[in-house]
Amino acid sequence: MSQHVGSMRLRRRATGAGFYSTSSVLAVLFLAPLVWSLVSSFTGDRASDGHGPVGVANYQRLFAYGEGVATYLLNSAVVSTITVAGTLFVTVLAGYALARFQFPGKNILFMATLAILMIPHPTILVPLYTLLKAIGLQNNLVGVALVLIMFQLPFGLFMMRNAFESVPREFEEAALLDGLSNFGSLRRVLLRAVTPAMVTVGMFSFLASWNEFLAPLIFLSDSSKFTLPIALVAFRSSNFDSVDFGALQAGIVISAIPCLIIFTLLQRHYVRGFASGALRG
Amino acid sequence: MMIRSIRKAAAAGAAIAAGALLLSACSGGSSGDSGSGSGEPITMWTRDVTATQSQALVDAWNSSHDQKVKLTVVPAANYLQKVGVAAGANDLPCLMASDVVYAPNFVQKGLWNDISDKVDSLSFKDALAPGHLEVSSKDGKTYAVPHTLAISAIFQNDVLLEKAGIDPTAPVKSLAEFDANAQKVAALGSDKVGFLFPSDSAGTLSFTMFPSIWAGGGEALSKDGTKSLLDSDESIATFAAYNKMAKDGSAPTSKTATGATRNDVFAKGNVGYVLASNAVLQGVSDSDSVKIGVQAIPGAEGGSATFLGGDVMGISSSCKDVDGAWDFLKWSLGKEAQGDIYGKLNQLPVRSDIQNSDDPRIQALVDIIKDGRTPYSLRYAETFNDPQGPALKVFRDALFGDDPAAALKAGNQSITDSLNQQ
Amino acid sequence: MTATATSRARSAAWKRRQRRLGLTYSSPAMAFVAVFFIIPLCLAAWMSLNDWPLIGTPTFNGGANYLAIGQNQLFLQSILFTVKWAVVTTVLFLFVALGIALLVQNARPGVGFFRTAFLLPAAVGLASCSLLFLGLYDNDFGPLDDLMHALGWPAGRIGFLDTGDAAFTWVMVMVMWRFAGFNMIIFLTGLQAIPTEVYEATRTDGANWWQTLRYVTLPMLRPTILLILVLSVTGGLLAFEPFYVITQGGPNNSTVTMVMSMFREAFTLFHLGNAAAIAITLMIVLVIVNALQFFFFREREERP
Repeated sequence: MSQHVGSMRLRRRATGAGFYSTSSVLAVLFLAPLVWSLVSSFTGDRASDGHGPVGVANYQRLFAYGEGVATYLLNSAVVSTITVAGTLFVTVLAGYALARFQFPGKNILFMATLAILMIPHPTILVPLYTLLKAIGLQNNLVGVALVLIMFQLPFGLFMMRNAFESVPREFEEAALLDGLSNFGSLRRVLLRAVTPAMVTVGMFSFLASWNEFLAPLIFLSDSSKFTLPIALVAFRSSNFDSVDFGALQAGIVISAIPCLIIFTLLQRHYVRGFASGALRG
Repeated sequence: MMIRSIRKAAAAGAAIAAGALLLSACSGGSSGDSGSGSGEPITMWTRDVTATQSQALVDAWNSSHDQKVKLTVVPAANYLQKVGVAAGANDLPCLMASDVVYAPNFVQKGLWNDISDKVDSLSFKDALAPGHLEVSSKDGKTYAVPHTLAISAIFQNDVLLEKAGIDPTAPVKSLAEFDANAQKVAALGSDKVGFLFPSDSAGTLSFTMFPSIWAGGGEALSKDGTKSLLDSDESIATFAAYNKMAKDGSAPTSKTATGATRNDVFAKGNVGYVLASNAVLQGVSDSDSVKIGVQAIPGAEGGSATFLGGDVMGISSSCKDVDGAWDFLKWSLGKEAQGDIYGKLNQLPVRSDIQNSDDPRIQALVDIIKDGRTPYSLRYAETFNDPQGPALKVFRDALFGDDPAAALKAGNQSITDSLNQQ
Repeated sequence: MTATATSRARSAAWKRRQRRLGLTYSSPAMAFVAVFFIIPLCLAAWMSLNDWPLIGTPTFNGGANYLAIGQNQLFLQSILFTVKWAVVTTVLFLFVALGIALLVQNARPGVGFFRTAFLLPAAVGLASCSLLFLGLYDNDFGPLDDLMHALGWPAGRIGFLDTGDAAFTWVMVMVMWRFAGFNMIIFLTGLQAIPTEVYEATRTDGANWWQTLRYVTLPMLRPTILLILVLSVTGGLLAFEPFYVITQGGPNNSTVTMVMSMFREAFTLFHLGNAAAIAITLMIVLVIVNALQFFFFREREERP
């Protein structure tokens, strides 16, 4: 008996060391290009304007570019917020419907939504432009966000459907028995169970809309409405074929910082056993 | 607890979204209106490679005129895409720029208005970059005027040349002479590159190779742009000269150079000569290890020429305020714009009767312009600028293969076919 | 009322309520899909049946654009390359993403840091990412070749992108780097839905980690694996940005993808009708491929 416990402890320590060494190597591999980006944005001739090895000239140029980084950041934030809110709203409701109810058009909805993934973006943008113009949302951040919500529906719907389906039916039945008879309260209970999926869908729709370049470029004509990715592309294309790498690196860093903050805040939602813990209690 | 915070976040998100909706609905619901009568701002699109000059022009205009110009800078790689989508919805901007080699195509597709009368009324019409006007015209009618000038030339690092015992002020008269000089530079060290001609990029190659053909007295295309003459003697001599440079140690890294890192590499100070556009002066500044000088592109054995690239700008067919747009266009060709504004930015004036800089390098470039040409073809972009076009492969085979003459002769027909397609 | 009659009535009312609730909850999604997808899709389909000029009226030409696809050399040669790309990246994603997900699924001190590290590449837009790696692979400018030399790689220029196969490999490295964390998160979401009791039960039964993985974890991850398969295969077959930016289809058109050839039709040649035909064809192929994936991965009816 004590031998068994001893060997288990040994195994746990071994897997512990294995975990940290493997993960550290992987972390280095994953972070290395970004670290290079960060370091490069501060070193080199473009960073120091020719005076010495380091400098912040790349960032100075970036902040002075066009309408100013603050404007582009704000535009991106508006588009992303609307996209995330809209995507979550639509996909949570629809995912729940697909997982738990029978209704006409159920399968068609799922297949049609998935089909959104399967059309190459450049082609669908042409008719979308005409559509947005017809409903007066061309050159409008809300119009862009609506299109981006549409692009997020396949992933969001699939995720949320999977998530609701994997919640055991006993969950709902227990809640019903507890007297939570109206659907609002039921939703309150169910939502706890699918939180990680919601976090994932929210995070991914944020990432997709934050980094989306083509749709805002095509649908927006006022450069004061441009989002950050568009500004960064124009900023780093200093001339004919040549790429301003200092500008590229500075742009990557600026664009990645909000994402980094969001990842750090949200990653704890993937703790294993969260939902089942709630069920047991 | 968890749910409450999520609900709060959702509520906050909804509030922001509603606020944003209101804001956007109030401010930007209109489509890119091209101006429906004087007073409305005039919309203008330019490619991002001309962003600096275009923005400077617009800022200066807006500070001294009531009718404002609204500039949108569009990434060059997506410019045609944005134009294509907007054209379909008749939503083009009033002032629309274009890479000069696409001008014939734009004219043929009816994207620009006929402005012949207006251009003829300009007193300095004859001083405008002739190549640009030619390709923007059809059947005697003019549809666009020059906007910016990008010409190809050879830029040298005087610091490195002196180290190699080469007099930087001496004009280099032939590709063979460049070869000899480049070898001396390469001998300085294993990290030193004698000559760099970025070649792994379709857009760069015709821009940099054609001048040598012209300098030798030959032609690259037929005048109507439907036939390739790249199997001519002058063409073969040109490609053979560069081929030799790539093989004999002068330009070993050119085979894989895409041009993307060209400026950064040149700025490091290890390259003797780089075959590029005048935009090098914008992207690289003099430093301890780099002092930039200019040479005209020669032919294999002599002469000199350049490719008159850059952008032209016309008034689109969607424009509702042609007069307002023309006011800006005319002003952009005037002394203030071409002289003061372009001069400060180290930009070449598009008028030969204006001198805007004391910088000897700019003056050297201006001197080269008179030997410059802009080739004309309706199918230029898809043949030469598109990496999937036929020219890239033929050029690279000629530059890095064993037999430039054979490569050019074998590939010439595919280029002609592409130039001819409907 | 008799017992059967009440139960019949309840079940009928219950079914109606099901339908009503289901429709209500799914109505926003239906609206979005109908307005922002179906309508533009129909327009694209209409475009594909026309000779569609940039400015001016289109002329109907039936299936001519579709027949032209068979003559489009560039597109035809891009098919094999794109399929190869989709298959290889999908297989790799499944292994790599599942691997790192299993690694970081349990709460431990520091696991948050690792999860963020793996996910951070997703913060960079795909075009920026592609340019970043273009710089990395540049022998004069990027540090990668120096690093490899220091680690023992034979001296001389390292041609990351010099041949079609080399370019395929190194662009794949970039795409792996960019999307492994993304797929890891999807796996994590699926993994955390597996109740801990299941694992406790298997441990009591004396199963080792491989048996647990094979007989417990993977079957319960079925819907997640299906999602990743759909995303990866579709994304792979529609690949555009990485090759457009890094190799531009070279060397010698050896890394041209199907969407790249479509892009050339649409925005270099301005043949919008032809491009629409290619897009619709691609979509139909993808629908079929994904339908097959769904079929093979469908949930078996019985559940313990």
